[in-house]
Amino acid sequence: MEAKELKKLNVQMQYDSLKMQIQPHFLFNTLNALVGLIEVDPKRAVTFTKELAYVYRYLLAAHNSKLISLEQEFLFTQAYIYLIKTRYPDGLNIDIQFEQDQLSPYLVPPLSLQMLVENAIKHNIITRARPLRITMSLDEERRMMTVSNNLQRKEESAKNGTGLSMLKKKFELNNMQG
Amino acid sequence: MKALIIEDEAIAAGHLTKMLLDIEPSIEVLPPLDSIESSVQFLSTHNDIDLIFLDIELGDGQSFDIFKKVNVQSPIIFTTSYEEHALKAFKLNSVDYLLKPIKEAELSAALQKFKKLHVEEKLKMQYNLLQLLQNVQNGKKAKERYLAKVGTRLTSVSADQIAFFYTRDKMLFIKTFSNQDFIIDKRLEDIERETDPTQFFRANRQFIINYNSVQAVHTWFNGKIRLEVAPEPFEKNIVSRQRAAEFRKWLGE
Repeated sequence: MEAKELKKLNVQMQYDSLKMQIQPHFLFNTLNALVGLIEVDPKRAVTFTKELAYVYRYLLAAHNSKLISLEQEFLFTQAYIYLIKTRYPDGLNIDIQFEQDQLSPYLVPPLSLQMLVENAIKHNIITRARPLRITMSLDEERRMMTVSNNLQRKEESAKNGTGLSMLKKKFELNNMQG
Repeated sequence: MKALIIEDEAIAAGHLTKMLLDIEPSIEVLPPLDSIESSVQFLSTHNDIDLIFLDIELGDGQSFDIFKKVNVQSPIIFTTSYEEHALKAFKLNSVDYLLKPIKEAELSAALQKFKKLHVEEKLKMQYNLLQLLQNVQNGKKAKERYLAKVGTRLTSVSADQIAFFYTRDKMLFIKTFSNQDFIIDKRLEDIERETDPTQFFRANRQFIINYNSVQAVHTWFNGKIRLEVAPEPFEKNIVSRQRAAEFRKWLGE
């Protein structure tokens, strides 16, 4: 029963994450930024395109594994952040308080770290006048990764509320601490 | 034409600016605004924006909220990366709805649509207003009396006593129906403006004639018209070819 539920949940989460990541909004906004970038900074446009390809390749591969190394998930999250940060250079500050090689002992469900960052971006104000600060920190003793941000909620931002609860469930089913 | 881009991504705003200027170099594209907050602030003090390009999802919410906080009269072209909220957009004074990345041809078509809907309307309205203004001016009471000089004596001559105004030796004279000549201190152009246009007509560079002074009209050579007026002026009164058609109209042809 539990395995069946986990499988179903996996499918649902894959679908949701695909919708969320390949969500037309993200894709077309990113393509739109790419078009602009090609014009003003072709060199950066090349890097941007490669990061975009990396993000989508990871998204598609994420189906296949229940767990992935936190290091891999972090690299993917960084690529995602690169895309977003290019689009909002003055509206977003990311503070990473650990080194990449500290992450190697940990496993997480794919897209979990990125989803936390994306949630912060989706539901908070990102403007030049009011930049969003996202902090990612690692507590090695408690084996805990924390993603936090200055809270400046967007009014009426579209919430389906499934992202976090789904992630929580997934951690539970893997007998992990969320 | 003043255009404003409201778009939370600087690169996207820069790209749209460039596209606009490529299509229509005469457009003045204002520096882009990136949020609801800055847009509300800007639009509450600027009401001379001819066209707004508006992204729907902004960094601090949906751009529809701008209209809840400030009254915007300017026509809007919505830009969005994904088809959504189209209905909501069309309820506002929207001209078009463009999907990002925007194709040149679609932007061009949207601009044409805007011109057809708004610029031509505006011109038509301005023209109508001008006509109205002219009618009001024409309806303005024509000058009824003129202050005239004979030697050192001043006298007032009523307009209906005047057979014609004429210039001679760079001075302006009145000839009355009773065949008196007076000097008046004005220019023929002033008289043309002040007199009742149904009563007086600028026949040529020297004469403005009263309808009642016209005795006969002769076609002259080269499409000109020779006038016989009474009292008889010091020289022949010829209506130039250019003025002939208007003169006929004035006479009531």
